Amino acid sequence: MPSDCQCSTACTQIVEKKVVLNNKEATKKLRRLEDEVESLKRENATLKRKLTRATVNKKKLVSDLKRQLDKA
Amino acid sequence: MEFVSPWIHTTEKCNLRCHYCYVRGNAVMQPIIYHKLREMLLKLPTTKIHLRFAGGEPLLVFDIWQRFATSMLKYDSAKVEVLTNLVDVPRNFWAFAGLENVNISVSVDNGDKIKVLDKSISKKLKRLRNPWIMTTITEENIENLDILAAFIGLNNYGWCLTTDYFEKSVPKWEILANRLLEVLEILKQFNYDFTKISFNNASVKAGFSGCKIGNEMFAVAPDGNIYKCQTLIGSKNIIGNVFTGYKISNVCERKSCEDCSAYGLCKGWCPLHYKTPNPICNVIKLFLNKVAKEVQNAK
Repeated sequence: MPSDCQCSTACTQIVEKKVVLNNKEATKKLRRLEDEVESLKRENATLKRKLTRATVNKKKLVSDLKRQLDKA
Repeated sequence: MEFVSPWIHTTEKCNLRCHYCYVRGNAVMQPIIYHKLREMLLKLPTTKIHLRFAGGEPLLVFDIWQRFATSMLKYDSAKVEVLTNLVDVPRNFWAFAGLENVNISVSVDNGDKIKVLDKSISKKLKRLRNPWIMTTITEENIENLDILAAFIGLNNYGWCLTTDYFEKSVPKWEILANRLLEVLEILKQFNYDFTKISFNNASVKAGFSGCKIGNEMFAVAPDGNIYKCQTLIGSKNIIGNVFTGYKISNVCERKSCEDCSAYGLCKGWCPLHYKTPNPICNVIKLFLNKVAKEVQNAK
């Protein structure tokens, strides 16, 4: 079980897993979050433009990472 | 009290001294303080003890706290967390790190100069069982997060991303949001387990507690004084000490967050230094929306 970080604990053995939301509530909540995020993107043209342009070149990233780790 | 999780400020000494760090000084916690802390913890109304060994750099004084940590691990529900930069590792630490119920969180920023991801850190991480990476996002490392994301994705490490507590070096929220969403796209390319990532304590992982300072979580200073939070060490806000115990205070309840669409998933980040609503809340919402979708898609 991976651990936690700094100001929170993620050890499920310690913090008993509590079902805070049932499925219906969770779906409703996530939809509201999604709506809010969409309007956030609409209101912020720069953000929207950059997000739609974002592409990932996995090969290049892995090769850059390798080069960085190969440095002495 | 469901659990107790002291932040044990083993020392103020550090071998890095990052520009955003709040720790100053050279104090070192002495064995008597560990002894008294143990007595205090065992009297608390919970058996679930989660010890966080931090600093400064805790591995600089591993020889002082090792015995205490090992003795606490004899209790079934005790866990040890070490928050380290993993730069100078004592030889006998590796055996300790391999013990059951010991977890290691490693600070890697991949900044140009600070907490750089290099061959040495990569090799040491491979010696650990399921380490978590802790990254503080600042203007110094934001451009290098893509390489770090590829590294995390390749190894499927848990990743705890935060802005710095005092927002001294937080990039503008739009820049932060763009970069963070790019990072999530990169992780997706590596079939990353998105339940293993958090941003400012916002996570979709079940059981992720968020900050509980002043209650289940508190900080023990090298001199044995107890504070709600490690960032208050050295201030006048002492809530007790290891000799007499501490006074519980609920500071994590946030009425202003109750109407937020991310309430319940976001744990309100830092209740001391982060006032809500805040522009960073937008970043948290964008982050959670994306992560929740990826987790749902993976099911």
